[in-house]
Amino acid sequence: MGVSLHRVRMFFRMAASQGYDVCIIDTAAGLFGVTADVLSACDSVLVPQQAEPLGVRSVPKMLEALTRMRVVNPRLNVLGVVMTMVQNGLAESLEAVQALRNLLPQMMVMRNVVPRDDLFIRASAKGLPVGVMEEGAGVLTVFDSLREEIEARLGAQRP
Amino acid sequence: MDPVQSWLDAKEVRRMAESLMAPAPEVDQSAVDAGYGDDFEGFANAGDPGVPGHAGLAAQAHQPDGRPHAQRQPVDAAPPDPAPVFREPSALAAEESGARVAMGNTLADARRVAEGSGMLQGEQEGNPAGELPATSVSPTPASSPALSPDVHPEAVSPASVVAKSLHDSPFHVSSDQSQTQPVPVARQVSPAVDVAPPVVPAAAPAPPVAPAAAPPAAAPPAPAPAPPAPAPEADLRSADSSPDEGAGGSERGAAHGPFLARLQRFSAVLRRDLDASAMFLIDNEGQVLLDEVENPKLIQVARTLANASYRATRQTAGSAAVGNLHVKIGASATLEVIPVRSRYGLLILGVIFPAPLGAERVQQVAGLLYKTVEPDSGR
Repeated sequence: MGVSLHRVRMFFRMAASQGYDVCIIDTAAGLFGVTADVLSACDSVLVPQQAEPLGVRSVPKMLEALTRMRVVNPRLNVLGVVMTMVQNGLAESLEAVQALRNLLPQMMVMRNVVPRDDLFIRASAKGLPVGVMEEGAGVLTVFDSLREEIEARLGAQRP
Repeated sequence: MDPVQSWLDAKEVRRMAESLMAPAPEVDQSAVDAGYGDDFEGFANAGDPGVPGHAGLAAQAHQPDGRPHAQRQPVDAAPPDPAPVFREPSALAAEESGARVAMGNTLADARRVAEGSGMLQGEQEGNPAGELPATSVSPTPASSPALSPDVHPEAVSPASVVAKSLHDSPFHVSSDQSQTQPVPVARQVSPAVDVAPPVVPAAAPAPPVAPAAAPPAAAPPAPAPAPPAPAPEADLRSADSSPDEGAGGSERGAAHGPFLARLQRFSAVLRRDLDASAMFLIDNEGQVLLDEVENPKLIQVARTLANASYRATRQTAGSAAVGNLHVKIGASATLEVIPVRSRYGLLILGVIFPAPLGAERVQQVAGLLYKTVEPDSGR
């Protein structure tokens, strides 16, 4: 960790100098390498979590890693955990969501969830954002709601 | 068996989560960034007197203790807690110092290469030792030389040459910035008689997207007034020439003359019938033919989307056939992106509507644009 830290900071300064208010970085899975450097330099982190039992069981490790990261970056805020790939027709998936909501503080799990949908696969095959697909209006609504929820949390954190 | 609870210590997990959700403590910025300073960006411009602003910045920056990088303590780490919950300061310190040594060696190698190739001629006076100084702060340019379009060579100061050389990009702007290649549409649109805007057949149950007027030979009378009589045609000028009367755009490459008039009528139709607020039309090279939005970012978004969808579906002719390309840009504003293939290449139409259009409407708009661009196509 640290090898890319200066470049990450330079990138953030460039984005700020060009007038951007928010910069969202989608990092690779794991908490090492460039991902760790990004977490060392950013203000907030949003944690996507697959809605399945095996994924939920990794939550403690994720929390431990974020707690360690706070030593390096005391300013790091956890915006929340967003449940992804939620399958409304699969009981185990819904149970995983509910279990995480019971386990974690209420404010930690985002109200909006991202459903699992074949549209994501079709969109990625075309190299397009899912929102621009012909049937993407529904998913776009979900992401709009998620965006509003994130904006509210970001706004609440600002002085 | 509980699929989740039986695998973990719920109390410990909750405790960690609550501590993470607690507001981040107010940390003295100097404690967090003491090792870098407020304007730290990297070690690339470390302490070169030739870099503008270095003297002033050095006064603000953290003053090193004079020891080499490898011996400096990682000051950004918090002081060790007598009873820390998670204790890995030694590992972090070792990694930080190792990274700094690696960074310093890399920069020293880069500087040697730059000196050997003569890129730093004239700058040696400022640093007779030829070594990287210990300070690791640099001024923050508004835009890094490596990231922004290049400055004209004659306008580059010696200091910026140093900065540029250390951020050298493999890409260089061509000295020939003249636009000798004419805009395809501006040159190739045939100087035909400017006929009235095309009529798009109405699609039930939606209200028809009707043009301002109908040509004399066409049947249905339109409620809008007739267009002005077509003026004698003059050859469309190349992109190098200056615009003249009747040209709506003064920038190079923008549509002008009868073609502009047709585009303006097309825009008026969209505003009247579909509540469009603004539109732009660009070609595949990014040349703006008509721009009512005046937002380069939206134009770039439209271009990116259109090219991505075109590559993905190998669209060959006609209107957009890849779903419904639109991007929500505001609470009641959606940018609809409609690529249209014409004999002049791929044209990308961007229109701001209050809400996304349906697929059928997109097809209608694309068809209308095609007829606007190629009025004699007979389509």
